[in-house]
Amino acid sequence: MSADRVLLIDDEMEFVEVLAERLRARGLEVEVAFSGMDGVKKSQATKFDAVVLDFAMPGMDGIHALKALLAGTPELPVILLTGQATIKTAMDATRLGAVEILEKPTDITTLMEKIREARTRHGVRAAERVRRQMQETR
Amino acid sequence: MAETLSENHICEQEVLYFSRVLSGQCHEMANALNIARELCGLHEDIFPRAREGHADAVEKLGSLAHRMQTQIDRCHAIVRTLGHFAHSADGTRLGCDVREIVERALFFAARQVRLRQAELQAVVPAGDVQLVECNPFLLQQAIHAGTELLLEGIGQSRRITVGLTPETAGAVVTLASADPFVCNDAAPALLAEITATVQAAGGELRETPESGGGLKFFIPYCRRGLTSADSELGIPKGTGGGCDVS
Repeated sequence: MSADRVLLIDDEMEFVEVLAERLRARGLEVEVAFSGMDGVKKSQATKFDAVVLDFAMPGMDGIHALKALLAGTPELPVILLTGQATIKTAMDATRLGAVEILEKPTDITTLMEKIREARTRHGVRAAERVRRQMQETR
Repeated sequence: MAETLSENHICEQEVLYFSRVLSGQCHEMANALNIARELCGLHEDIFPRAREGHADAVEKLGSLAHRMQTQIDRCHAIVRTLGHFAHSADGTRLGCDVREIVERALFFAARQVRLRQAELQAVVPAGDVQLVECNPFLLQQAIHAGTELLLEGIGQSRRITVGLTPETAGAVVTLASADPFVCNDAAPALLAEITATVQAAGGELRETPESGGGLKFFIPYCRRGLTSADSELGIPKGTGGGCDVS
């Protein structure tokens, strides 16, 4: 089984780089993006098993990035990792399709669990889509 | 032209500015602490290998200490600046160092500017302390509002320059964008607020971006003598461009 491929999107470069290093040490393949726009471009170019996305970023913020990420790949599991978690943020993000909202700081073990859960969910969603497409073509 | 704003409105704007600064700096500090936390985690991850004597792990531990120090320094700078900011609301008007006030206002405005994908360039030359007579809190608020105004009408260069120039009777704070200012719906209200805030601070708005040259605030030098209470606050005697300090 191949390693989970994860995209981290956060404008705090030092934060992203350290977190990426810690996730890599736990067996994940990690790519980083320092802006919402950069993250969306990377997700269009590469297939990821999960995206970990910050909320407050210059230019394209987390909510807009979430919309753009899911517009291209609706099954992509996106975990919102934010220091600005409010009920409204959580509701907006959930409504738009985020699979999880985590508040910074989050324990690395919890983040790993959520990424694995997201990958499983991704697999289930993808299988459902294939099944639906097969039913439609019959 | 700027309309007259009520005192109540100015008070509301003061509270709003105070809360904006606090919330922005809370986020900045949380960012630094989140990084420090991850660095501690990385330290935990690496430590077992370093203890076994792996050279790469030992080397990495050394660099981690430096990276943690950077985040601690970042938090210290925020706490120190916020402390001075909180005291700037105490009401001291005599013998305020205008350079300190401008630098503090820019420190807080930096986050907003960065989130708006713009760049803030400060041209605040080092030199003699310039003691002015003003309400430091309101001057910071006016500089912040000036930055907001320019961000609303900023062009392609996305650069705002803030300068401080000594004149015979006072100091002039200049805020300008690299491109010609583009007037928009929000500009008149913001300009009215800036005019009222600069006046309440004890200064004068000399130029507006509508005239093509950015914003210019004139703040008069401190002409009156400092009281012993002011001296206890650490205001240096015998310094200040054009300042008559007895």
